[in-house]
Amino acid sequence: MMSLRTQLMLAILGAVAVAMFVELFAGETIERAVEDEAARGWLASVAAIHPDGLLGDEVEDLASELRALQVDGAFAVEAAAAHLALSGPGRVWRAFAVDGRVVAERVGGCGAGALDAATLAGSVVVCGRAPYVVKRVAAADGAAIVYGMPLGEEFVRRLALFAGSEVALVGPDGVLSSSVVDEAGRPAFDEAAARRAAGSARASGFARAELTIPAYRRFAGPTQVVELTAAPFTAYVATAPFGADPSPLGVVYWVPEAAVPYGDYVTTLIVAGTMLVVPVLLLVAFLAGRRITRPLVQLADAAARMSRDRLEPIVVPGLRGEVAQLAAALNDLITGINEAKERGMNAEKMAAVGTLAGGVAHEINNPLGVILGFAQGMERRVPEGDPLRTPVTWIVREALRCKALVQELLVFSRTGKSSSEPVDVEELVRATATLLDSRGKTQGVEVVCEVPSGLGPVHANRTQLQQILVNLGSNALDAMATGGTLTLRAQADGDGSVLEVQDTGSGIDEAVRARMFEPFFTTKGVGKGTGLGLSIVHEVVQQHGGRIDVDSAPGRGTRVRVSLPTGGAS
Amino acid sequence: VIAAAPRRVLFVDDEPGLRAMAEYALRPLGYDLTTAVDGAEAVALVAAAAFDVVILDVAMPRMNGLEARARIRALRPSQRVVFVTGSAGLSEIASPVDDERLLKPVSLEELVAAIEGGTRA
Repeated sequence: MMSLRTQLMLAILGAVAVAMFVELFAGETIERAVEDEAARGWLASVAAIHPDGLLGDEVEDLASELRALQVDGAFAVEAAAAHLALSGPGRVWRAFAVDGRVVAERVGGCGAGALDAATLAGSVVVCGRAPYVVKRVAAADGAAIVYGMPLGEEFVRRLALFAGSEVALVGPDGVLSSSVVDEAGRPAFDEAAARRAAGSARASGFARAELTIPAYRRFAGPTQVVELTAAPFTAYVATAPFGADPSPLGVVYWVPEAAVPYGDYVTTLIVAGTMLVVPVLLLVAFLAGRRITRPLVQLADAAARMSRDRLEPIVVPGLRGEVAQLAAALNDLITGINEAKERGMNAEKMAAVGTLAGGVAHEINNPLGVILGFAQGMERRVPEGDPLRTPVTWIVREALRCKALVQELLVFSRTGKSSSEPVDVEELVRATATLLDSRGKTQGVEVVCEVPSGLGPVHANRTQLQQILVNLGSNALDAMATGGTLTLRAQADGDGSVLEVQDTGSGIDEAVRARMFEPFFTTKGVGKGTGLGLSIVHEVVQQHGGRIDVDSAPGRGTRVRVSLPTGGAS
Repeated sequence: VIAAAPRRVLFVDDEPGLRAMAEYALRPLGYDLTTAVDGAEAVALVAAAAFDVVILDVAMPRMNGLEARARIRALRPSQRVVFVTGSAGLSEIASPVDDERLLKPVSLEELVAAIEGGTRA
């Protein structure tokens, strides 16, 4: 399984690869499309100035043909011009690029520029970034189709710039022009070096060496065409035996060993840039990944440290943003799980205790009944003062204590098995209040009953419901040994009822409150409490689908609030 | 308080200790006590003689208290029956006719009160 960090880094690498692809391929395509558009525009403008509308539909055909050739955009313009020039007798145009602008002229018609047919014959054309073509085309009517740039210093200068090399133009009489000049500005060209650079195999004869690119040949037309192309990293020699004059005209350029042709600088820059950028990106990815994953790992560690029994809230200092939110959400979840677990454990515990207690009580109550009955029968026969009187009295007392415990256990274990009926809450509360009042009087406790009349019935087991009130009330009285007020309250609450037992007694501290509903947990003295009273309350309330809320402040009293749904348990 | 004519009590329980206890504790109080070990014996005794009250355990072998009650009622529709039960089901066995139930373990006072309760009826 890949870590998040690895995935991030891979994703960034992928993005880099895509960017490189786009730059290298898609970029070129886009550029070409733009240039095609330029060519088309130019052709359209030519058509516009051509009154005969000669081009007509050919414009489209030509444009698509040029695209199919995948030639450089600027070259396409030139080629299109050539094509145009060929396209009709008597309509000879020339077109060439000057400083990036396409210039089209009607040969002989306008006489503009320094280029006339004679001069242009045998020109080497440099157009845009493309390799250049040396081309001479003789049209049927003898007019020269020309375009491009005259061989000369300008050509050499541009070619040198383009090729990223030194260039020399060599004619039959020696070097005509060279990008290498001496102090006086004259061509300074080491012909021998040029030959070496050109490579003897390729330049089998300095005077004649033809190198072609098939795509270009297409434009060669019916006449002799010599094409020269330059490939990076290699020097070539080409000659152009133009027309009837076989005088070789050579162009030599060479690439210094360490130099890289200009045309490849862009690619090189991209590659080199990418090489530089990739480690940086990787570092960034690593750092970003660590930034993202570290808090996650910390969270995971914190989670792993948690015990199975009790999920502790995750505390990882310094979390921010989404990870902090995640931690908070996890903690909420943990709290929820803990609460649910506690409830579940309590419910399970209660159920288990109930079953066990019920079983034990059942088995004990017959023997206990025997002991108790005999002891009580015996107590009646043993007169006061008899040595047996004290033991038998104690046996009776303790057996009665056992009886109370066993019977409460049975009640406790039976809480889930009772039937229910509509219970008049008002009557129930008043009856219980009366019951509690007799005991309350003995300790100076006033029992107050607050029940609104017309309270709807609760579907419950009446005995159990009363047991709730009696148990809560007894505890309340226990908490008010020196007097106070015991309030029994009932009220409607939404679609249910609420029973409240409130005292002004000693209150319940936190430690007791946490355990008060546990079976057999008691704060009362030995023999005074079984520790089952509140467990029974809890069980009964649970069985009735209700809930208990305890509100207590030590020294100020306690209020226990039992909420019961109207439906109750069935 | 003992009635002038001794009350005839049928105590039915499969637990010998409880039967012995009842004899030991109730006889001195002036009750005319008969005991039975199960429902079947109780039904036979009720068929043979009249009792003021039948104290009937619920869970017994051969014939349980519920069935015994039904048969006793068939013989003597107005027969007082006091159930003594130690287990759940107290409310389940309750029918509108059954007015008295004791929860085990039963103290002597409860037993006497249940027997005497018949005077109120």
